[in-house]
Amino acid sequence: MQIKYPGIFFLLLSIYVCMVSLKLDLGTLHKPGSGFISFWSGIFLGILTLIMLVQDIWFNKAIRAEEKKEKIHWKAVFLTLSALFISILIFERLGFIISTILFVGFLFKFIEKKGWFVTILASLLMTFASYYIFRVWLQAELPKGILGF
Amino acid sequence: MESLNSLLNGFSVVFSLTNITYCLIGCLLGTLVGVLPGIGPAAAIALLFPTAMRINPIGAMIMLAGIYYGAQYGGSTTSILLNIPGEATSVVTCLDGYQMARNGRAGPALGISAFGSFIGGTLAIMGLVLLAPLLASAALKFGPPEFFSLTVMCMTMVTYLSRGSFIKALMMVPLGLILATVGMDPHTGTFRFTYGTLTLKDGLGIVPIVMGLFGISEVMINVGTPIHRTFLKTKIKNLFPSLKDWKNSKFPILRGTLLGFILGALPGMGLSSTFLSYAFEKKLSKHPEKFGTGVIEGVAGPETCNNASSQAAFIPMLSLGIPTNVIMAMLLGALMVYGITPGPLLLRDHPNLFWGLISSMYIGNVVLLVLNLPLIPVWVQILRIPYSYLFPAILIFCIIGSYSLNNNIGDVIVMAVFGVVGYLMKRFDFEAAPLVLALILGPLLEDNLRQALLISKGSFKIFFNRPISASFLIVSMLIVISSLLRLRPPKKLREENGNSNNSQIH
Repeated sequence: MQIKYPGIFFLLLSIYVCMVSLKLDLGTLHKPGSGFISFWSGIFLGILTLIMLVQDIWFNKAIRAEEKKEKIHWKAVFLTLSALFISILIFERLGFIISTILFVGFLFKFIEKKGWFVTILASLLMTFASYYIFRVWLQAELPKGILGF
Repeated sequence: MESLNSLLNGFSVVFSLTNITYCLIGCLLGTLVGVLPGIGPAAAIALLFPTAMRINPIGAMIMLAGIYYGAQYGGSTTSILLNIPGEATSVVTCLDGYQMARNGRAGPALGISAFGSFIGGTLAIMGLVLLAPLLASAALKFGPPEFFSLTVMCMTMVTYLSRGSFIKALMMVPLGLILATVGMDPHTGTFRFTYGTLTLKDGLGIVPIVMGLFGISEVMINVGTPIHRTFLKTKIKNLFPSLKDWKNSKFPILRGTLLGFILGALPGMGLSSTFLSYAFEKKLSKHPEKFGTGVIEGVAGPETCNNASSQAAFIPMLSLGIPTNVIMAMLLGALMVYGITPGPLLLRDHPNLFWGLISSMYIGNVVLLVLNLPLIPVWVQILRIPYSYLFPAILIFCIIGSYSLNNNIGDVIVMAVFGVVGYLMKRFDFEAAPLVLALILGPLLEDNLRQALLISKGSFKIFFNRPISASFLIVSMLIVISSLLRLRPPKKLREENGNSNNSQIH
């Protein structure tokens, strides 16, 4: 795996954290301020990222080239994550039952490529089983949404 | 004698119908998640966290602890029958356990693993009863410098013992500390990194982050690279090991207990202990060449070791308030949610919780032994549930779990974001454990650092003038220096890689 992408991300993150921490007030050694820990953590993270990048560029090139690339189903990962985020967005608006049926149905139909019968049956069963366990049995609060329960 | 009386008092706490039920649920759930590859005790505890917070603290801790040590029992089943470790600590069990199953000895392998786990777990609890109160009373003398240095040492050790690159693991510590600062500064009341959002003003919740890093990311990994399970078609018989098996296993079990107990109490050593146990047994064996072909010593030693180590991990958590692994960090987080301060004062202020939890482990070990062996056929059937039906359920539980914490959709978003972060971390070989540990210990570290600097009027000498604090820091420094000196891969490895590349080019 190319390490330069996380490397660049962590470098930018450490710079950002240090800048925000400076605004928060570092305080003094006698009385450290609110930004003290985050500032020094940012510096530490930046230094370590640089070490990682140098180590990677200078020493590990040969080893990295040897790494075997495993086959990743990126489409499945992307679709699952997208479905997760969309279901979170509609979770409170549509309520637990509708959003979960849609979410599970999507996973069964488009990730697992199941037939409509299995998709509908499994999504209904999973949704109502989890509703029963968490809402009825454990009395957890779940969004009611448009159904009102 | 005092410990014995307190322990008996602990038993009286556990022997209520409610607490026994929580112990039973915890042990069963633990075994279940141990059996199922793709969901570990960390994710299971994260999932049950919000539910556990609705019950009393003693019951909740009994149940969550049961999940942890129950998973150690369950983890071996998949190692032996499928050659897939249910838990990281059961990796080494695959070596001889699976071979024993292939040779038609799945029963004795599963049996010795359950009995070994019981013996190791029970003996380790005895050690816990003796050691934890002593350590707690010694820790009462600790001040801010000692707690700061101890926190630093704990984070360094966990980082040092992480798999893969030390630098990458070490990077997760400042990242965790930065995340720990999100929210209101308790000293000044200033909001840090909150961007005006209500969810962030309360700080980043441990539960949504852990659910994301361990639960969601694990699902993503399995969706991206599906596990292909091959069931070994073998009849499970003779679950009770024969006299010969016992004869061969008795010393590995005792050595495994001792090794697991010592290493389990040290930060980050739990996983390594099983590998060390296996290496020890191989070294001490009269027939080391047979290791890997299905010898019972190769199962008895590591399996005992991982249970002893899981019980010993409670020693620093209960007596010092210092978690030695992610699960302990989560249990610590659970205590904090209840407003209970873990550490040396736990024993004095909440003796019922302290001794009740320890007593529940004795009962839990008996429950696991009694239930596990007869239930093995059931676990095998559960293993046949396709992952395609499991992962939507895990995702639903994650959403419900994080939402029902505070009925706040913000927590669910945090969980999903950290799911993506966790997935990318796994892909790029960054370990989540040091991050979670730093996130949980961050407030403790910051508070003690600031207090120590206030006391010393800004002088860092305070950390080195006090012998206990200095020794913790020296250990940390030695760990960092020794790791940094080994930054460059061994020359032999580099040469081998260089040669293989050259050969490919030609």
